[in-house]
Amino acid sequence: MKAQVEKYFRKLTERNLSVPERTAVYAIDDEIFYMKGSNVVFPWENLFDHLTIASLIFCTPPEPLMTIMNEVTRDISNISPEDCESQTYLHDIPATDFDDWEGIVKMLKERKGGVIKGCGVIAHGSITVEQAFINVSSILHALFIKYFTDFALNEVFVSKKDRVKFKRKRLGVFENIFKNLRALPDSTPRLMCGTFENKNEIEEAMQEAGEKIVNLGLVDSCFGNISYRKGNDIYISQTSSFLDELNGCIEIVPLDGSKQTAITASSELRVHLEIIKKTGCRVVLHAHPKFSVIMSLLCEKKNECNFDCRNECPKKRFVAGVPVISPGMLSKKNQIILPDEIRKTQSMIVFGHGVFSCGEMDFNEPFEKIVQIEKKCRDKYFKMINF
Amino acid sequence: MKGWMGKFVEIDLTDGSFFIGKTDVDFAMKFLGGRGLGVFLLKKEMKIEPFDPRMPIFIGSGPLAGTPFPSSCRLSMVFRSPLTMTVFDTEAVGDFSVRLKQAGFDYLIIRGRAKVPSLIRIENSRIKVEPCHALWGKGVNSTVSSLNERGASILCIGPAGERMVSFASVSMDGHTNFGRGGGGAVWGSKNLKAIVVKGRGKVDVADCDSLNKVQSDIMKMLNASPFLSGKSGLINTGTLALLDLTDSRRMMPVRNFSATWFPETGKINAQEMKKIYGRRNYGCYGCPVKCKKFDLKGNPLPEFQSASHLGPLNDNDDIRSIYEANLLCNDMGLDTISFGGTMACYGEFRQKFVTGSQLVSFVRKIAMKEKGDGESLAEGSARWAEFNGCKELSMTVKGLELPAYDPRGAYGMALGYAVSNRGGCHLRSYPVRHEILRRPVATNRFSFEGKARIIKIEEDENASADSLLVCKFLLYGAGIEECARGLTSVTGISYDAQDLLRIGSRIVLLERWINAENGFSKKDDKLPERFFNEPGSSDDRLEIPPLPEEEFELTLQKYYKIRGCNENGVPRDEMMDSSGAGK
Repeated sequence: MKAQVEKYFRKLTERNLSVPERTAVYAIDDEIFYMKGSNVVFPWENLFDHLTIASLIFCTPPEPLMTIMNEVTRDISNISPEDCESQTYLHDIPATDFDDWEGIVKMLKERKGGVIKGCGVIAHGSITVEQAFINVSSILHALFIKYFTDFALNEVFVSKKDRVKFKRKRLGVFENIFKNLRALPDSTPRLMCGTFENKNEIEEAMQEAGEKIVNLGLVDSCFGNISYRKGNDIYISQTSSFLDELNGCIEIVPLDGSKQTAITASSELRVHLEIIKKTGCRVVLHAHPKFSVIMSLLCEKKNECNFDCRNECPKKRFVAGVPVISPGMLSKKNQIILPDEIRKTQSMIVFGHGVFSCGEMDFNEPFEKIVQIEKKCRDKYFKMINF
Repeated sequence: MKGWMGKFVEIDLTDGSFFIGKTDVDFAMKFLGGRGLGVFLLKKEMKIEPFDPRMPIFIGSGPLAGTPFPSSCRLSMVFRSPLTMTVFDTEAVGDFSVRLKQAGFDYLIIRGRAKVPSLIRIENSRIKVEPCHALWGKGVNSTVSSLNERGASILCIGPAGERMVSFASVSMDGHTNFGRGGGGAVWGSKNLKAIVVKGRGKVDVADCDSLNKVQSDIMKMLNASPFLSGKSGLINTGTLALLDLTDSRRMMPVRNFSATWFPETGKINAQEMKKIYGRRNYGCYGCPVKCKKFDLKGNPLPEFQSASHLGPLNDNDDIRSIYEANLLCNDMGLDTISFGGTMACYGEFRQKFVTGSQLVSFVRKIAMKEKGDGESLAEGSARWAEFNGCKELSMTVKGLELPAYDPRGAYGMALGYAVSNRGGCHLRSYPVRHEILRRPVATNRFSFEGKARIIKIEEDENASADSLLVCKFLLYGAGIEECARGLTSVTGISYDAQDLLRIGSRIVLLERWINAENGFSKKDDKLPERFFNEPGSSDDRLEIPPLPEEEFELTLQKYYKIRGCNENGVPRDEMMDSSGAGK
């Protein structure tokens, strides 16, 4: 238990999700194990008296996440996330005040985690510390997407009068957040060159790509998925595996269905298979780069259209030169409908979710494409709001 | 009252009388329904011998059945098991639960013993016990065909139940079973062949809008689960998909758990079954998962547990005999897990496992209690092995045959089997969900670290689901949080996830106390010695060592402490009081 606590304490700080002095990680079996920063004085462990849980994390995010969290939760106590993952798994994100102990307990009884206003994020897990870590990370990812999406919606899509009022009040804060945004690297790291001939090589290449994409901050909770096709088999990351910890977490799924090992493969296996089928590529990489997600949510036709973008979009839409597809088109039971343009772009953005990119030889191609798409989306975002 | 119907029926088979009473609101809120309510209501009578006519059977629905809440049409049966002598609940999925509520009742309690073979008919408030000589001796399929009528749902036993085989099951509409624990034998001891129910009422919901929102949230989560909706998920392939998985993880019980890998799995897996028999979905009332798979003739295909125990556990790679033995077990009313486990024990004792065709013929021998092996094996593997001086070959916990996950390949499952209140069962806790299926996160399957608390929480969660009568598969996509929101929407009474876990804990503790009153303690929370002494089937990349016994014992003590029990595994008085379990 001690090792679990230390691992996720380290992971929270290394991944820039929490300030070490203001981080507390707890796990409980028959006794409580914990690791907390010097500035955590509040006895969060008292929550174990009220909740049947196995782990708990309290963290104070560093800038710009702290300001983003404060901005999003400023006047409300229930946040509706915009991104698909958070909508599916968190539904909504509650927020309460630090001095409202009853409110904090109630929030954690009803939800996996939430925001303590002006203070930080708190989340729990019923099995491992990892669950609490994922919940913290997902909440922060959802708040980031929400903040920038809402800002652009106010900036671009509301009346001029309201826009001026809004801008006057919040522009200073926005500038501050912008200042603290992490820059993307000028050049992407080089990865192993393919094609790969044996199991060991394939797994090594997948592990390397997974680790490097997490290091660039292009996934949420270290999630995302990755695959490599070799003959009749597809090597794919397992469900709930961290991209930076893929050792032992790669499933080999036969394409002819002769074995049902796909049951523990990534939930997006069917999308990977369809991309391979449509493009003839052998490598697929999926990540959740933030500005790609944000730009996918900001459709220019938003005010003139009655369609539910999450289910189906009748129009062809492109962001950063790649097609945007509704998540509904990927979750049809019998059929996945991909845009024809993916044959050319070898990438697509799923509305409110993330980017899929593919390549023919190795992970260098999709890796590079994802980084470039994210860069373009980021530039386009700030251009769109005239910043 | 919303969700609950507010009434129950108590029937005395001895004279055919019945009594309609009001469901106690406080008890319903405290124990929900199904397993929880059944255990609570029968707790005082659990010292009665299982075949004593005074022994009651509880058959109950849950507050969500008959509403749009997904996968909530399970039914629970509570009794004292003739196989394990523990308090026993078993759940089955199908229409009966909804029909019972449509007839206006939350649950039935059945007592006494009919003088002649009888059936119970319930149509709205009309209740009748009638003789059914013509049905006695018939298999499940022909019983269901004889009683089938539009809008009705039928529970019945087969010949195995009539002859009180210790692991006889009860069938629901011929499609699904109350498989484990020998409930069918208790029915047989009462001369009860069948119950037919139909009704025209409806279940009121307090807040339809909020229920719709929960339903939509749950559907999103189910769609995102590879275990349910993925290429090899339950929706597409059924539970049989797990066969390849347990084999590839080297935790498939083979030859009475003497090995954990079966080289012939490819001959009997889901793909092969589909090739030979075809495959189509069977959907239970209101269930989006539809995990049951039928062949093209409309016969149920073997599920994972059945295929594994009729196949590799008995060293059998003959897919046709697996299919036929499964069909025959269903028709005769036998639990396939206990049948497979008992036959494997018999096979190892003889140092020769029976062939596929012999296995099929043993289904009939045991169900009919034919003189010789049929009669003696009908007692289950624990009693059979004890009688034959080979106790160590019975792969059971508390007399219940272990299911198809070898505990050497999942240490949480090892603890879960040992502490299960109803004996060797994978469904009290289901650590395979995270140890193998990686949901919602993966845990180290070869470690006991943190598992004591995890098992406790999972037991609470599952007890709560068995009392709400929500399908456990729903919990592999959505969670207890969504169940609480659904319950709040249906009943109008505020519940959160922690309330449900507290209720679950209360139920598990009460069961453990009932068992302790019947003499169960730490001495019964143990696994067969084989798992601590013999390794599984390792290969170059993966070692399957014996379970570390010392760590197991330490984790067991941690579990007792977390559960609120003393060192002997008996619930502490103060815990019984504070949990609201009562005595």
